[in-house]
Amino acid sequence: MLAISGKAFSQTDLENKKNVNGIVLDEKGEPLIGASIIVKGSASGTVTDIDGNFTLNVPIHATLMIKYFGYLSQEIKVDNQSSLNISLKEDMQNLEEVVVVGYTTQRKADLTGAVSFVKMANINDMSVTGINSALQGRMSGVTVLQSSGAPGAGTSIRIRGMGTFGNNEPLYVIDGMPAGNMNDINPSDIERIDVLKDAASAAIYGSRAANGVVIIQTKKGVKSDKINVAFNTHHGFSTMQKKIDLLNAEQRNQIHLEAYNNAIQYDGYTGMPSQYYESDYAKATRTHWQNEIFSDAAYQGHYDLSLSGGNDKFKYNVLGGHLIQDGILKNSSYKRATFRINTEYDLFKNFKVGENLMLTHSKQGIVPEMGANGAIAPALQYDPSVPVYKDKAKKIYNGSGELGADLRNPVATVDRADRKRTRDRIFGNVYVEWKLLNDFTLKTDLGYDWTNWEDKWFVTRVPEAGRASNSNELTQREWIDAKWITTTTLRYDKTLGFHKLMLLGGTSYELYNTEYTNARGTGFISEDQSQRYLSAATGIAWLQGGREEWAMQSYFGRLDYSFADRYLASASFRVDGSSKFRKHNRWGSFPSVSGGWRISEESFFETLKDKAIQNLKLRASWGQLGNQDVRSFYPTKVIVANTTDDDGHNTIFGASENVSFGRYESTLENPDLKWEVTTQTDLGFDISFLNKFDFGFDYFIKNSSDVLFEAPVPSLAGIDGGKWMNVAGVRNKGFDMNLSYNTKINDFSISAYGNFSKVKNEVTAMGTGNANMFTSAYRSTNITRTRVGEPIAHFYGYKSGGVFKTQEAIDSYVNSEGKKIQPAAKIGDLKFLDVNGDGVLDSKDQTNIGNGFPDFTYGFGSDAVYKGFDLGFFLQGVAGYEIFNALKYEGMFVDARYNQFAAILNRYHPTNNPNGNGPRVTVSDKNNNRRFSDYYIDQGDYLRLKTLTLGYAFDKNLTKKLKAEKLRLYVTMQNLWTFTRYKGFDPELGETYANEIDQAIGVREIGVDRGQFPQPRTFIMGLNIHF
Amino acid sequence: MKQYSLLGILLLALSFSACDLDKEPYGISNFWNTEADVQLAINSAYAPFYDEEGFGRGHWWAGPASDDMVINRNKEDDAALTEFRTTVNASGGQFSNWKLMYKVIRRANDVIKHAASIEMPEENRNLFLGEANFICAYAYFYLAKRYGGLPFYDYNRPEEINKPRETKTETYNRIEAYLKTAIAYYEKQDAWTLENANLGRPNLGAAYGLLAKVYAHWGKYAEAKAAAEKVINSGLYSLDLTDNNGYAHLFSPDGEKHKEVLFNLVNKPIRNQGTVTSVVLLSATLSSGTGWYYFAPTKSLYEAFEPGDLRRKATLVGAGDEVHFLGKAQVLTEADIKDMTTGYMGTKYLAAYNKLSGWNWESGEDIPLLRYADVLLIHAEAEIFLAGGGANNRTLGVPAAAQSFNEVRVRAFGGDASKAIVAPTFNDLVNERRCELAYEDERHYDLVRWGLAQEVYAAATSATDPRGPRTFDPAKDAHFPIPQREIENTDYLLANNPLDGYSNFK
Repeated sequence: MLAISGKAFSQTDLENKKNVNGIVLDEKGEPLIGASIIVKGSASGTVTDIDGNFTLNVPIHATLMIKYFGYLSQEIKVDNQSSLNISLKEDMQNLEEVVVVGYTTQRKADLTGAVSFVKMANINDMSVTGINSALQGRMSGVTVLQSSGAPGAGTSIRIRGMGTFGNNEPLYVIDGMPAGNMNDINPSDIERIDVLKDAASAAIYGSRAANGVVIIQTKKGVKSDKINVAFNTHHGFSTMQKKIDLLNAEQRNQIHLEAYNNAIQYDGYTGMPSQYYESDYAKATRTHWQNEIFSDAAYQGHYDLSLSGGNDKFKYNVLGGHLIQDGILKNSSYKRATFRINTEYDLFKNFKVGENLMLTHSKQGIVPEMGANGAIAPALQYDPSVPVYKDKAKKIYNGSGELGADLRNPVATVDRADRKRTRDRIFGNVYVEWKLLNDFTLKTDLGYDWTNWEDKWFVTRVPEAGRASNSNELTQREWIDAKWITTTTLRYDKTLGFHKLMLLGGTSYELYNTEYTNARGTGFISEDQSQRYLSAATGIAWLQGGREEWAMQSYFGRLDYSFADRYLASASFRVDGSSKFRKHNRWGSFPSVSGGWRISEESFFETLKDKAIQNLKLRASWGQLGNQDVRSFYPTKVIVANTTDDDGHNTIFGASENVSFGRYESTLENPDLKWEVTTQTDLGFDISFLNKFDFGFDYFIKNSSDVLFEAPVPSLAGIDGGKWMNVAGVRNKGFDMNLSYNTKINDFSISAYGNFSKVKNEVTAMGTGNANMFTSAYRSTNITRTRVGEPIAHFYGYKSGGVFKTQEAIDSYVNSEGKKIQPAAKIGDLKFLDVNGDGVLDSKDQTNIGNGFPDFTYGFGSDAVYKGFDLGFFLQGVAGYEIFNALKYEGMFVDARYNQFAAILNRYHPTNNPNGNGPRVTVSDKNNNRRFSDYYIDQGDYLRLKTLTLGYAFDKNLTKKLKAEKLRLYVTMQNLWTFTRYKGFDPELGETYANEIDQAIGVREIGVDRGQFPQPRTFIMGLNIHF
Repeated sequence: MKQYSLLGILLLALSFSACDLDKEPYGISNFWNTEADVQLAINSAYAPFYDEEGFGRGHWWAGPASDDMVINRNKEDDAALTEFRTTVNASGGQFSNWKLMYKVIRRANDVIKHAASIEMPEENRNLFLGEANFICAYAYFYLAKRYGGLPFYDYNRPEEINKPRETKTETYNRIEAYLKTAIAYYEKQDAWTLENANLGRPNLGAAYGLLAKVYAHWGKYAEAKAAAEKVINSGLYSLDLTDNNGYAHLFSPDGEKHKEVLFNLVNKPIRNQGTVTSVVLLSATLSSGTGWYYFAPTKSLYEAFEPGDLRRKATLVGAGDEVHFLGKAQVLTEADIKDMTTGYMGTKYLAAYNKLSGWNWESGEDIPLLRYADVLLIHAEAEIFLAGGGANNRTLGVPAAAQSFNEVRVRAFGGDASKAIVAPTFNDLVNERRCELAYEDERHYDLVRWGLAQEVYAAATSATDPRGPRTFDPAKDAHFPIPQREIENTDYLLANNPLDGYSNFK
């Protein structure tokens, strides 16, 4: 806010002074409390009181500037008036707004970097279901990922694309404290979120800011003569957006028999199809397995209550919330209770102490999803003729049936699932802020983040055929993570005439440690709920416990300078030392500079300002950021492990079979591991025009060098994992822009916004010593490749050239010597291209067959308010986006044990389906149609109505009778409608292993559909009431 | 000024708040100090053997290349390899198995690297080093049989993890050197047999036996004979002859620790304490969905057994045979094993199920990794070859081979001495090895090294092998292609088979 310093006035000023009083109101006539009244050209001024009134002694010919946060400033000549009635208009463009940047704040007008922000106050009322829906689409270049549709799964943010392998998570700074994620925060607690996109803005955070910084501030109390009470609640349900079309029993029989006939006729197959297909039993569809495992209406409900207020010295905000969320996959659930208390106390003049404290408790009920022991994939493959139960009353399930699938009954899997992950967290900080010597501010902050995790997973016996199991086990894992961080900054602010200067220096130390105990008990005699504790086990498969630590020391400084509000410059420097690197590579230093020119403040611009262009600013920035975020705490050291760890084996020796175990070096050390450095250049401009429009544009080049990644290593190394290395250089180049429109016509106000981002990803260097790196496999075959000149982790496989529909086409597909390139091919098989032209089809013909990086992403939406009604919607789209649909391996090729997708009906068969375009079906695939090729690549483009909200706020006169200030009812719908040609569950893929939040393996692949938990469609009704 | 000095002090205090950034791992990372560490380290080399793709199922991916068994499930990648239709090895099983064997190699190498400098009684050090060298040889040989020349792990240069293959001859030289080193250490302790607590670990018999086999694969029959005779003449090993059906006894929990077994993977019927070997062969229909029925034995194998050969039922069964599972005897019907596409089911390693009360993925059956019977037959083979027998002279009777040969053969017929062959021929040997060592990862490699694979596979008919005749090209198919994923992980540094000098001895 404005600094008002008391300077002595000259004699002449004093002589011509008079008292002026007045009132400052908004357009509705409500008083504005705390508006600044300043005498232009001097430093004297005052603020309005609780009724909007002020009194000020001013020179007779003075001009008063009236400023209020969020409103357009006004200038008024005093002249003869002694009583002023001032009405301020709301500022839709709001350049005075203060934006949070590294360790300090800046006026929006003074920004030289690319920063976006969202005030939750504007959004909270629209929908409070989650941070994701609040942020999605509001900021250009910011993508919000709901990493999985599973209840309780985290939300994460990607800024300007996925820049790197490994961890693309930005740095989250919550009330000044760095945090790994924002998952435990109740969205109702959040005041505002600022996102630092370019390097110069983020640079002061140095390490881990390479992926951008998300700064979250929670709500603080405000001075108030009463306790402000707010109560929010919403209830609703979720349902599947889409199910995958599967073959019914009859179609299954037809396709399978055709597959056998093809195999016998063309492939020399000698087996016979099961008689089962001819039976009446096999012809009836008895179970739609997807319908059985997915809920039609999974309930969710949320309550929160806040009390806030304060006086001149003490301010408080206390919030409590409770969330219950059932997943669309039955039996999956999430419950969370949150409690927050934020206080601030002015201990004595210029000396403030405060704290933010969050306590959460959550419990997630997890149902296995992927793989043969999961629920989702088997539901797509299970025999549709088989009823769910043999005896429903006794809960006796049917096994996999006559076709012998090695899959578990999906309903039984859902019902038996017993995995609970509980998490308790204390997250908070205490700070002292001391303004001294007029221009200095000293701030010390001590933060603590403590989490206790427990993952308790009981796996029962499985009697029915499929993957029967006669053993049971309880895996119980506990971690206690604790992080201490101290940050001290000293800030110096000075305004001298046209020069405005801010200098900040600081240091921080961060210490993280985790202690864990993992155990698996086996051989439970009874599976009764009361027995599902480790003591009831008759054997212990493994027991692990340990402690790990890392620490980081940082020093940083920042300089902001502006001249005449027109020329802006900023520079920062940060030095980080991380315990993850050895001494010779431990320290990294990260500089940045940026500048801006507010052309609109130049005198030659005056004429344009009124009508055409209100604000025009050019910005340029350059900066470097470091990243040390490797999953291992000790990547430069060798880790020794036991063979029994994590479901590993014992070793047995001796005549009496003595059980022992082994111990071995499980990782490769990389003593020379060093900081990953991202250098980003950003050029941009902001323009506000016609009093209604804001447009921002940024072009950026982001070069990451020495990218940290656990690179796969050859088997010769004799270890399981890879080796932490500085593997590659990656360049992300692109632009993002946003346009918004705000207007207000009488009772009708509308804001519309849109954004567009384009990022091109390219590998610029490989640091592994190899030209190619393969980071991800499906069915034990590499499906992604990384090499210079192409996007990271692009899809890797064969190129196909359609289906051979005639023998002639097969016979004429020959190499230069006249030899058939696909000698085993039969009519209906896929043609694969001899990409390298060597006349044979082999592994060397595998190539880049697409990638999961969209050509561009876009979003647009609008919020409109008319009298009490509000309507908001937001659409998000992605274009030029490819998906590697790995589920086709099971769904689009016949394995006679399983059911397949309905899309397989489009197979080619000369008589049964001569117009088909898919490869023929066969149980003996000698042409290997099933190999990974571009046949697996689907267009993933989509446009999705992410949210649609309709609300009604009751008239104030009515609510006052209820002693409430505000009462609003709303309905909101998420993922209501999607336009896409993608046939899988959901083209909006999260990151593949999103559920394994405890061991985020980072990005090894982008855009691979392995059957991730799809996002639900959600319908919610809610109520906001403020007293 | 007072205020400024206060500020100065504060700033100073800040800049000196630097804290410790040297963080060391806690717990077990302080390793390689004591004999106990070495003991744990050598144990760890065995753990990969217990994996599903170790000796659970991984040792069978080459089996269907022979005429003994077929892949009984829809696995085109493995089918294409074992029908010699591809030069791209996309088998996930083979890749995992390759990786596991290199884990064994790495862990055994670490013992060799560290054991020399850790304080312990010299006799223990000798035993550790003998064991570690043996295990290296075993794992390399196992892989060399499949793939020919291999990349070599050098513990003096552990950072060199991306290396090209050595030639097949170089790889065999390495294996020979490991075994000779193992023998030298074991000889110092006269480690022909081990105390009860270490049963299962290798000994001198295992080392000489394996050496004999390595030489036989190398075509060095004089050396093979000499090494085999070391084992035979020790007099410390013998075939299991229990109840005149020692073969069945040996492949059951009762006989699995017999001294016929020179090197043994000890199993318990408990998860993480045994392999899944038994369940891999088991019919799913017979076992209500438990069995994995991955491989089915051919009629060709069934017919290889002469009437009265007791090994047949311990190896494979068909409709009409009596089986014992979970303590219950039943006569198999076709319907019981209708998921076995050949009409037969492999029963080796299945006897343990008779002892269990309920289905378990781990049956507890031990997996013999080297047997005395194998050494005897290698000895007989060496005698036949040294006498001029072989693929080019298949009917030459060699009396010198008789003793070793007949010891194996007569046992198969319940001790019926009339079944002995006075002068076994190469043809006799071929069939004897087939029947004695079926399902033990030998047949395909034997046929290849004898130069018979092309002829035998081409002669098959769909009556005895559902795949009918297969085209085997000795120049191209002598070894499997290197797993494609591994080739890619080395960025094509590993040259693929067939490759002169790498897939043959040149």
